[in-house]
Amino acid sequence: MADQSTSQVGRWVAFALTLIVIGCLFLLAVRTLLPEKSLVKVSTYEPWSEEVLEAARGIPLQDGGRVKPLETYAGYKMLGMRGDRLVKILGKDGEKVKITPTGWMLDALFRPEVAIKLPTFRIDNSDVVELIGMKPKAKRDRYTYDEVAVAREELFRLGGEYEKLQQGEVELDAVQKQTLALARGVREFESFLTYFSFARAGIELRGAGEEGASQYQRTSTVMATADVIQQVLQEARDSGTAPPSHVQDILRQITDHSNAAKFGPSFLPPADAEQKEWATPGARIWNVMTRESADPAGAVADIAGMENLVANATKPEGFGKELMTWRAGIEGRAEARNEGEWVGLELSYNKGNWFFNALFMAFLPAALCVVLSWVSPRSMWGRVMAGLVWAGTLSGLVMLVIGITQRSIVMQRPPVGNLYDTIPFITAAAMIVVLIVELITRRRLALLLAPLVGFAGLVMARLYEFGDPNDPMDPLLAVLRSNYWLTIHVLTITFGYGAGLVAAFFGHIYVFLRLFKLDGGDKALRRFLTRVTYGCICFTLLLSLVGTVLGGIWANDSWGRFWGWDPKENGALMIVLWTLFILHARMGGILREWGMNLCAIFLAMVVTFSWWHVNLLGVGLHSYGFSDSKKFAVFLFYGIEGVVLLFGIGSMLLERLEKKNRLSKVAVAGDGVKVEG
Amino acid sequence: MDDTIAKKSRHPMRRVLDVLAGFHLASVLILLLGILTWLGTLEQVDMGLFEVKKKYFSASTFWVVPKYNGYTVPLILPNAYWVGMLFFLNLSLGTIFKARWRPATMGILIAHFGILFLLLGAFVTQHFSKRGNMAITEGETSDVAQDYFDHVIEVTELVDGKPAKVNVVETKYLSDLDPEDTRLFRMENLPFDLKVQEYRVNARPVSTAEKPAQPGSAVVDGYFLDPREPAVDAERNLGACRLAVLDKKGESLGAYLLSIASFYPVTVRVEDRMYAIQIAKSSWKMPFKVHLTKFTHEFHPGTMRPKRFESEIERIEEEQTEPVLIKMNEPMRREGFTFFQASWGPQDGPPGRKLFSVFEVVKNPADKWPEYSLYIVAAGLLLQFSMKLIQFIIQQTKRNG
Repeated sequence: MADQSTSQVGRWVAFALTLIVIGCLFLLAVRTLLPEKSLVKVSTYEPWSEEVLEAARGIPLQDGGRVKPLETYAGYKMLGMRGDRLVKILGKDGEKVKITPTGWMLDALFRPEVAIKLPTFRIDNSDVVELIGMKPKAKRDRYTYDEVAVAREELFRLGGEYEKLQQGEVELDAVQKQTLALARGVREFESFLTYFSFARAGIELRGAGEEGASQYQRTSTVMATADVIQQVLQEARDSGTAPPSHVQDILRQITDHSNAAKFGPSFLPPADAEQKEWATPGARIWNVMTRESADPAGAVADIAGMENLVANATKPEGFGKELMTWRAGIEGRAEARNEGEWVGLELSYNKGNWFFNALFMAFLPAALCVVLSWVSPRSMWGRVMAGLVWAGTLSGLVMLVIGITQRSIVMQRPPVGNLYDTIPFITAAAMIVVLIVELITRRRLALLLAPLVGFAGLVMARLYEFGDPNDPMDPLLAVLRSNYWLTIHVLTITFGYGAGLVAAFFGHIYVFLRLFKLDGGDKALRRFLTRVTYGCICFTLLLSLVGTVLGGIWANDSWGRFWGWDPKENGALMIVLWTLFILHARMGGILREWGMNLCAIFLAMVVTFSWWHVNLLGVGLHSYGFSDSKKFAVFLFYGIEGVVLLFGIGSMLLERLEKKNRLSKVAVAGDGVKVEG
Repeated sequence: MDDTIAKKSRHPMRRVLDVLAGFHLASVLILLLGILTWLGTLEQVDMGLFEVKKKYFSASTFWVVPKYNGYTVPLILPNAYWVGMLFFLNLSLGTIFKARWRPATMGILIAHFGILFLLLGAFVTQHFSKRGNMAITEGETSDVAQDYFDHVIEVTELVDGKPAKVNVVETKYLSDLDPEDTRLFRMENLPFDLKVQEYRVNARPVSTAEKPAQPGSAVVDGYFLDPREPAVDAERNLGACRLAVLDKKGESLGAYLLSIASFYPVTVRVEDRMYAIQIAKSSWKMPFKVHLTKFTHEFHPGTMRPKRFESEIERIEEEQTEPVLIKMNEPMRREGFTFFQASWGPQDGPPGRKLFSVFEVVKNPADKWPEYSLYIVAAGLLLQFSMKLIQFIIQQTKRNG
């Protein structure tokens, strides 16, 4: 009777714990969606029409070494500056207006006077705001360019200082890092604001009009006279005199325009097929004026095309069509160079928003059904909930796989090539392993785990993406550009991580069942769970061992050594050694049920070390920049797992003590007397 | 009870074998290897890879006292090299004497043989492989590879200003020297002997006008060897020593500072013959020549992210010349040597400047062994785990009706 009540209490404690885990994950995921506390009012804001946005989304450009749609580019730029992908403001008449990254980018490029009023910069640390002499707002509130511009000078001074420190390999503190990031963000935003200055301002020919008034010419028109200008300059050089003042004035203006448009998106594919780099308008202007351009007529036409766009951008009608025509021109030129063929698919990937939808539309409801099924697991209610869990899990998994596949096609490489890629892949791999276990065992235990795995994995992917806003689909370094090795080594090893984490999940279930006495003393269930854990450990060993040796063989072909004790190699080896230890200790009778499952939980820490921790050490061939929040997350995970292990070990020891006491009571009771309890 | 009696009555040798081939020892050794790998990974942050490899994974020491974040961890652990050796023994004995040789365990046995082969490969690599680098400028030819770490002292006789014969004091006679040690080298083929003092793995010759001489550093012609901490990237170490040239009676003919940082060797005239003496990275000759025809590098457009490095070379063997393309992930293997595309330069030169390509050159008799062992291990594990999985599925299917 006492046992039963303990089991009931334990059941609800476990229920509450699961709910807390789901709640925490949900809050973490939702944190990336939370809007600012107070919306900025921009009463003059006129939203872009759907036609314009649709045309702009797919404009191809070259960035990060690949051709991608403007939508992707704008998305990561906005994420880097704002910390999310949606601007919300109060527009005309106080109505809420949502601005997508594409709309925001169009504002910055075509309507800088509006863009500077949009809340663009997120500054989490109020010390940064105070350091540059601004007034802090509430947490999560964003700052407009107008607001930051007041402190621009000080911000750039400090940014320059911190950049020098960083180049000198000095470790910056959190405030310095954020100040530097803000300075870079503001500078980049300025490059968008001034991008089309050459088209808006044109070239002022002072005194060329009637009665000494100024006359204005398009920049492209002046570019077309580059030969004449150069001739005048040459004559001045030959005669040892200064060039005429009006020519100097033109040159100064054109240099300013060129510099203002030198950075920002590279929209213009070169005419020369051998030339790999697409150009910004600034580079085009400069090359024509310095007569370094291989195709001056084409460059002048490019600039004239952009001038037309800018002239039409403020007109309510026709800009969409104009933009579409211009985009078609760029697409045609890209196609002729065999570039940009996956831009359409990338747009479809962006539109599908697969990972977001899988997270919020499938795994979250399925995880809630897991919780609800707890109420009465063996009833009709429980069966219905299980059905819903299956539906949610499978639909989420399908979305996940579609997303991974589309990314893979767009990237033209296997799905895992960087740390971000590993997260959705490992999530999918772990889910597949869990569902296979469920199909074999049909006990609904693995099934209940599946949406939680998917949910946790995609929350992690989202947090990673938001914490490191660099396009993870950009091409890889030379050494990684081997689809053969990426396929056979990286996929095997990451699948191994997935299997290791699944083993750990089952280890957790075992420990929680025992800890809260949820198994009702069912020894068969315990044995079954341990066998599943054991099976997953074997699978982890197989994948990790093969993956590690394959990695060594790849390293032998790349760097001339099979094994170099690089931290990432060591991490993989540690998984192999830990799983080998578990299997041998089991064979030697050192580990039994409890030991096996506790060791499986520890395996999660070993996998985390290999997957994440080695990358934050800052040494070796697989070292990446790591933010403090990621370091914190890794250590938090160790801490939580450490607590689970402590509780598990405590519970195991307590149980053994109880068992020993029971046995000694039997012994004391003596011959022929049976004592129970 | 009977079992205990049986165990006690076993021959002592059998009991030793039981321990050496047992699961308990295997578990302990695997655990130790895991801990050492973990500590060795963390310590790389402070010590660098080269020093950690020496401390944790080489045969030179038996014990390791780990450090973390610069603090000594109060723990004495056996060196991973010796743990690995013992593990090899344990695995061999366990596979031969302990394992059950029957069809059901065939997969495990195969996997164990694969691991033994892998460990053997690691041993052969550690003790019998050589690695260095060869840097060649476009249009030039070389057949000499240079070691990354090992220092030698080269004495070259100059005839008409050109190098004639080279005598070498090898690394093994220098590497065990501490700065306070002195070692005399009797040079049988030369009219003088060498006394090496103050050998330092990393030091710079510094003028006393710039800085006062450190205690323990002798001044030679106004310069002394300023000791530096061993570099975290050990290939950046600049070896140096103080050298006394003695005639055959032991009388000093001059004292010199030798340093890898010096651009030129010191020259010594003895019995009207000229000699150039320098400390240098150890080098070895290839059985063929390599001519670099062209080096190509490419970045991903608009970025500084490397996309492609490749070297078009000609391999020249006696009368035969063969064009070969060496690029990332596609090395050239020939006569036991493997050439890998490692680096290039100058990376900040003006366009059109001749580039040089750096190849990692490795001679490793066990080059392909890991690959063979992989096939064996994978086959074994797949066989074993598949059998287990099938068993489990059958059981579960029966249970689920």
